Amino acid sequence: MGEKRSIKQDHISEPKSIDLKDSYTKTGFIEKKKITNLDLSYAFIIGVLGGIISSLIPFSLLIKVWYPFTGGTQLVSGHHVIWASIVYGLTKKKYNIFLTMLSKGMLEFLLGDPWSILIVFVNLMEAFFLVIGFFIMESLGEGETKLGWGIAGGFGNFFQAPFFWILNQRFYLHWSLWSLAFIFAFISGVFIVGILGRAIKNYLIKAGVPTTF
Amino acid sequence: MKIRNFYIIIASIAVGMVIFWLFLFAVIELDANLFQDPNSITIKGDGINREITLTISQLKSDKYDQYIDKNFHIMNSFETEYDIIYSGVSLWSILVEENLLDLEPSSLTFQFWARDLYRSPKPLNLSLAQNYSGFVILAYEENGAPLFEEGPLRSVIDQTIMPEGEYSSQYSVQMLSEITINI
Repeated sequence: MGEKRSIKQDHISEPKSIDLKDSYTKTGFIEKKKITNLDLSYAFIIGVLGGIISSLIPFSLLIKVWYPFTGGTQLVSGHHVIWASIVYGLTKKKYNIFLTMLSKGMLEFLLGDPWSILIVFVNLMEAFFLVIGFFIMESLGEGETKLGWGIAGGFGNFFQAPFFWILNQRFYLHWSLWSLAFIFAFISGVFIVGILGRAIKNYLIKAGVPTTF
Repeated sequence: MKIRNFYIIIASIAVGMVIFWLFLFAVIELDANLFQDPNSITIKGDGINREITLTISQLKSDKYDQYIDKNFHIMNSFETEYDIIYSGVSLWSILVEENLLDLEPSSLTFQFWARDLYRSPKPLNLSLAQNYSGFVILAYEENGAPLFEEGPLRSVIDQTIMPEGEYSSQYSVQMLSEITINI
């Protein structure tokens, strides 16, 4: 009777000394991957915030003053993805990046985005590449550094630029213009999604916002 | 300084240099005029006898054919069709009134350029502007309001006169700054 029940990983075995010799497996989510209410709250609240700010505030107007050429607005395009990196910083769960971008994309669609339902796909594509970026950086031991976040953010924000240029059939424009636009997309990702996202995440944690990791 | 930080600085400088030279190359190669007055357009090219710059107030004068609140049918590259009401001045009337043409319009082409170096995909035959002067305009108002972010001028061509396989939305060039007329 004094023998304690042994728990090894998710498989629980009853002690042999008692008559009950059944063994069973824990049901439901494995504990470390459980979606908490806080995860969902962060993903959807910040996603909605991002959807409103990204679609209704014309950030590109300022850039057109400083860099008047086509593709210059990519310099601020990172504001579309920063929300996902903030949520990832608070939760450290990669599926939260998808949830944030899904809610953001849905809201942009409902607010009448010119790309219609395609904007949801674009948001999920950005989420996918941001996840890949974080995965690579964490594999290289740069998961918490500014460099790691910067490159992951750049990776997450980069691919929407060629995607939109293909969609808009703009490749007849001079190659230097789209080269610059793609470089700007990456740089915007580095500074806005990566470094600014990391700084905001750190300030939020410092201010007492609870994390879920 | 750590070697890692040194590499980061070198990479940043390299990216900065690439951007600087690409920007310079684009300005020179595309003959960009960074200081052009946004309230004016220039008509130039080897198909006309002289280069001319006109302000919006000149373009709005009765000297040229004006089309007020005219409905334009537009189609984009996804083949979505829609109508927009524009007010503007006929391109053909500018060329005629300013007496810019020495050659037959059918031997000339026209192309629109924006301040941001966007351009219409292909040069179109000028006989299009001659035969359908009310369908090729330089618009300064949309739905009765002056063009703001897209303006102050934009080219507009009705889809009904577009050549096969061309989409009028790609020829509706925002922030219009230049029209080239070439042989």
